[in-house]
Amino acid sequence: MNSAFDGVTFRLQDMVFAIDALKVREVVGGAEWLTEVDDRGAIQTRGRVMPVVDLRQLFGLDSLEKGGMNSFIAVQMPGGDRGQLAALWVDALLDMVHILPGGLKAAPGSIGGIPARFLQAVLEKDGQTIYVIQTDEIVREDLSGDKQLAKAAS
Amino acid sequence: MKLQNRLLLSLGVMAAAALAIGVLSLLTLHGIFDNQSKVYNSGQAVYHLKKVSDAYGLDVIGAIAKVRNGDSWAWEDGGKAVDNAQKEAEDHWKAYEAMDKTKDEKLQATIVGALIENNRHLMETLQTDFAAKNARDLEIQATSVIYPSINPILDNIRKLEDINEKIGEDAIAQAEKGFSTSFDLLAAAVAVILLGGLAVGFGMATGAIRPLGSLAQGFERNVEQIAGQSQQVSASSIQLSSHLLESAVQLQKAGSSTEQLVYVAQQNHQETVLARHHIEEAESAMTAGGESAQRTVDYIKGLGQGAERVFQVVKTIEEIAFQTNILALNAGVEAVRAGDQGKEFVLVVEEIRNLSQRCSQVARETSKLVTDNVRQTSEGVRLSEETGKVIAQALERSGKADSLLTVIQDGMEAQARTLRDIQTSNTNAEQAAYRNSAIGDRVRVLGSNLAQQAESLRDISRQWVNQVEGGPAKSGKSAEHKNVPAPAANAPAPQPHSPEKINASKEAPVMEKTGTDGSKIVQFNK
Repeated sequence: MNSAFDGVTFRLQDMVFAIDALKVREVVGGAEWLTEVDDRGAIQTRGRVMPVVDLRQLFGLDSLEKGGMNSFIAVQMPGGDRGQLAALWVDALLDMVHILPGGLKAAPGSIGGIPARFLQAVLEKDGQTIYVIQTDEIVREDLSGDKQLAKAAS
Repeated sequence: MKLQNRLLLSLGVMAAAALAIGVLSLLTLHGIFDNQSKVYNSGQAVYHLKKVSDAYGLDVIGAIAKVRNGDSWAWEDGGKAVDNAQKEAEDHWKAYEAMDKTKDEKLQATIVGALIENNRHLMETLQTDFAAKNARDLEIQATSVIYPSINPILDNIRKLEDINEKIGEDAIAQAEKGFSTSFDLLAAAVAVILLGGLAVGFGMATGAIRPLGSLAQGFERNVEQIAGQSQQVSASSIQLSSHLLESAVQLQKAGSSTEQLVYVAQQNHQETVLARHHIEEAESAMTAGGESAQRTVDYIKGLGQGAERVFQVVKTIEEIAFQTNILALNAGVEAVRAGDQGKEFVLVVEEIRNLSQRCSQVARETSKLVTDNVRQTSEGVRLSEETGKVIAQALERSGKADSLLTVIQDGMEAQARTLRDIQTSNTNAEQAAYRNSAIGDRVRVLGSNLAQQAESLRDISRQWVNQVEGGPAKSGKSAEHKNVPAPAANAPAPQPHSPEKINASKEAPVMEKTGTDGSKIVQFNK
């Protein structure tokens, strides 16, 4: 993180997170939930099917209700096909943010239920604390339990 | 004695007898002429007495007959008739008293007879009148006192009539005997009668006087009895009169208190009516309020439905904002990916982002407004419904109060009717009591008149007895009678007189026949 970059911010519980915009393929709203396959939710939008990564569950929080107004951030699956996407389930999508390296600070370790390895940096902007997270690790770990997807991911 | 002296004595006695008989005859003749000359006077006296008798007998009896037929206003007429009759009777009685009192036994008998006839009519009428009205109008107690007093009087009056007839017959017989005796003696004065003639004359005189004297005594005793009993009647009637007046006064008092009750009942009734009126007004106001509340509820519910629609619109706006935001983000991401080539696109992205933010803001504000509105609306609906319930409760309670008041009102009306009935019957009783009081008054007056006449009777009888016996009457009670008090015709009811006399009159007199000379005499024993 040495250069400036743009990020997509979203909210989870009462914390604001940011993801590198280059990693974001698409933000999705108003998707159709598909029936669970192997204890995993999946959504479909514009003909494409994406497995859902429940960040809340991952961070030790209770999941939201599934509905038509759920927000997702579609990110590329690490190491996989450029077409294969995973949908990160967030509480709400916020804004684009321009991040300068001088503004970043080191993550203070784990925060609550969030392991330290997921946290990349911390940013203070307009009085708001924004946690920059690394999505590849999150997706890889979450999908590692799923044999099919893990196979696809690897 | 020598024969010459005996002859002289006989001649002297005969001369004396002849003189005595002649004087007696002259007196008789004089009496007869006196009687003849006084026919005019006696006729006038009898006329006056007869007018007195008529006044009492016809007018009063006629008035009483009217009343007995049940004509209640005839009491007034009857009273007036009695007053007129009394006045007429008094006038005639005064005229009679102003005349020379005759000394003739026959005339005395006629006078006494007229008086007796007058009183007889009176007492019989009173008796039958009392008998007719006994149970209804007059105090039973009073009549039970008067009744026993009247009966003996009537009996005595009838016996007096018998005596009167006897006196009359004897007097006439005496006069005739006197005539014939004197003429016979005058015709054969010198030749026939000696001691025998004198003895006959003397015996006749004593024989006539004794029966007459006894009769006079008996008569006087009877008259005194009548006087005493008529006094009792007067006393009883005075008592009755005061008693009846008292009842009338008490009834009037009861009547006035009933009037008060009626007034109070009317006041209460009016207040009840007023209370009901107030309740009715309150009810109509509440009903109007209830209707207004219902209209408000309906309006608010209508508003709620509108709010539902607004809610839908807001939701749509929120969805649009959401989608717009996503579009803006996607555009931003593409712009980043595009790098320098996307710099112009960034402006567009900015625009879109602003738009989406504005949309979001509007959506949020509207949503808040609507939520508040809905909250307020539902609160308003709840309040209106509660108001409606309260009004319904109040109406129910007022309905109950109204029905209670109706019950009270009906009760009061029934009470007022009852009071009016009481008042009416009270007024009737009052009127009846006053009528009875008037009757009692008349009775009292008549009773006192009777007593007065009995007194006059006594005077006459005393005079007559004096004449017959040639001295003061020898009956034992002449000096001991008290005077019957002179009553005023219109005096208010005074205390009853001589209560001890009333108690002593209960036993009826007993009749005994005693013959002293073989002639039939009727005497009264106490």
